[in-house]
Amino acid sequence: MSDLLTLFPTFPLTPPVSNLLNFIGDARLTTADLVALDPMSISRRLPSQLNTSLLELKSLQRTLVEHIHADIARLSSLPPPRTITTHSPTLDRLLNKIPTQAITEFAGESGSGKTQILLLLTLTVQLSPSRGGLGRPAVYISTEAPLSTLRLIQMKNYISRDLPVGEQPTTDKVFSIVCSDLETQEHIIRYQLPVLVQKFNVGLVVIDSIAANFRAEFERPMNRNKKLRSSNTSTPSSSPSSSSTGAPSAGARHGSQMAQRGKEMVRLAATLRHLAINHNLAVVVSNQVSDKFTPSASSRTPLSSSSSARDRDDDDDDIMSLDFQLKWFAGCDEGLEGGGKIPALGLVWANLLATRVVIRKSEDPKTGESRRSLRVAYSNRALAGEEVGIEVFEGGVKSVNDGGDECS
Amino acid sequence: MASTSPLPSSSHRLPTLSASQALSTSQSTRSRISTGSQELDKAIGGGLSRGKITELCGPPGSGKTTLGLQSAANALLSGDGTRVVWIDTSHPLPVSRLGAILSRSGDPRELFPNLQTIRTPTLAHLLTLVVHPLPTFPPENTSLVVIDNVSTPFTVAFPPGMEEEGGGGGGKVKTEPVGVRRFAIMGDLISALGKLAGSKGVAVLLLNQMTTKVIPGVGAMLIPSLSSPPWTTSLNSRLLIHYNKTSPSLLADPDDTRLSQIRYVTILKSNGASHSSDSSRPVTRLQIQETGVGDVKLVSEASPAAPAMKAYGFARGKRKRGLEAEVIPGSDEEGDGESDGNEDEGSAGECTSGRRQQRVIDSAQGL
Repeated sequence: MSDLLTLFPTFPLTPPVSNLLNFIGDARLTTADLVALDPMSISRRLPSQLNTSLLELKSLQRTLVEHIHADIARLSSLPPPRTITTHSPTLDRLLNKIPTQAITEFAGESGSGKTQILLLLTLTVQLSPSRGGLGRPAVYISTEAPLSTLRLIQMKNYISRDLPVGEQPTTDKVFSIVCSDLETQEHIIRYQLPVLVQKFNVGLVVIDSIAANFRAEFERPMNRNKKLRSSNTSTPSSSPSSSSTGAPSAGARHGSQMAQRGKEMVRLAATLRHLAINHNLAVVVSNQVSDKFTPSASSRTPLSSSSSARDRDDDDDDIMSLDFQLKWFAGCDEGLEGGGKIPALGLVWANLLATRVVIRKSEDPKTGESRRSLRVAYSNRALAGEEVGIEVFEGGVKSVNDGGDECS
Repeated sequence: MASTSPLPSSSHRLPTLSASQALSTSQSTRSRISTGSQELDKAIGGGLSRGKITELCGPPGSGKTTLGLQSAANALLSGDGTRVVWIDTSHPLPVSRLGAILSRSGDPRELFPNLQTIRTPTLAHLLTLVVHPLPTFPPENTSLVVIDNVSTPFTVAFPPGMEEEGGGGGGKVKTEPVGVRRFAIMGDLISALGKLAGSKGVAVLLLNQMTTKVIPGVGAMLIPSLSSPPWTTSLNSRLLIHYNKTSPSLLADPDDTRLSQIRYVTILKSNGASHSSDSSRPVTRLQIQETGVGDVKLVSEASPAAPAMKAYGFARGKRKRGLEAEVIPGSDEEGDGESDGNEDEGSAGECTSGRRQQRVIDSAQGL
């Protein structure tokens, strides 16, 4: 099936197109192909017994190009992005608020407060535009623990304290969906979410967390493969890409699984972005983190007096290695040498985000109290690098630097 | 049949340009758009050249968009109602940041009307826009077209792992592997962009993301997401922006400059000449700030800004583990002419000594 109708559902299905559509799909011609190829090459790819006239294909291409040009004009004239406040002046400044039409990620370990921020946003999105919201409801898709209603009510009561009755956020306007596996998740996001968004004019879609189902489906079997590989020591190790042998090696299977995971992530992000742009809504997701294992963490610090033996193991060599560059865009740069925690799902996912925010949790050596700090790892609209301490409180999450608005 | 419209009378006469005229126009400053970093401009011959394609690739957060915004701002600020077209394929243009950059030396409200933003969320949209351009694209007096970014539409249309399910399908109809179509469409796009740049005299800036490629025995390396010999050939300049460690002792005013804002640009190709060996690749430093791109002030201007480092290449047989799990084999297909891993030991050795020397300089200046 060609992607023509998925991409352009309003494309007119008049006779030449409707007759050809199935053949176009069979020939695996995508809409991009139909645009890029000349009619002669299109006709060569269609079954020869079809006898399509070049003229017909030419007119199909012309209609398609005109249709897409109209779509580009429509998309380009959509209203500009809006923003949602976090209810904390410091965080608003640091993040430049939460934008619509883009995917924003909050990554951090469990208990770092990322869910708290997401919950808070489901309420602030309901505030009127003059108070920093969009005046629209939110959808909360949870893949781990279900929505914590009690906590949400607590936050709602706090936020509503000094708001007139009509302008208070309500829990009625937070739609909650639970997806416990990847298949459900994909179905819900692809087919049900657009309907919900359309029906209730949703302004914010939250997914908490994006990683859970991907990791559950793709990482566990990976471990099983690893075990299989280690128990079967006679298997010659082969590169992940060589799958030509009759029984694919564990490495190849793992490789294709990673490819499959990448494909699902790309699809998911494309669907979310499509929703975000067409409905001018914000997509905010949380991500888990995993430990990063760096063997030479301690030996790297001294810049001078490097013995040749140590130099061989020095990471500085591969400046363009994933390991080396990852430290920065994973949000753990020079301040956090070595064993930092990196957001899950890898580079493919990282490339699909507009903003990544990383929350770190550390323990105060004296008091034993846990401290949380938040920083922008990268963003196309806010400057990365600055780190602020945050704390979770009755009304959600605020920066330790806020202070001022507490007294009012 | 498409009726052949009568040619406008003016096209009967071919406009001619003498070689010396051509040289002087190509060398005039008006034909270049500053990237905001003087060091980088100098390294690529004065800025982004009009009539040519420049590609900027880098990992997330390396500052691709900021460099694009700064170049757009510089083009807008050059006066005479110069226009800029910004094509976004994934996330919308951050207007507030462009405003902040523009307000450093102009009035954003006066200049914004000269900026046209176009959205092409899928590959089909992007191809339609560029391969079948409307007569109004790009508008008169456009000096710069930025595509932010050019790789996402390809990632969505040809997701990782798609090559595997290609070819075999169909049955009655013979189909070519999906990977082949990807390269063909990349070729169509880049040649259309080249035509657009050349015929309209606009500078085209492509922002390209990175993907991973596993080098056996080395580990996962980052390579530009879109890359093929015809693609690379069509680029006038190819810049790689990336992170690296900076010794605070090198900075002129360490209190003013934040290390996390410093980026490195390795010039893989400039003005048609590719720098194939690692040691000959110029490297410049720049700084990503709230108000755009700036130069990094170093302690001594005499010290080489570009340590002879191996910025884009593969290490000597060094084994690396850890993140191989994150590698997507589907993206390994890039026939990147530049990334052949068979590097002779000699040049690697040279590099190492150069780097060590640089380290000595670094540490000497720290004392």
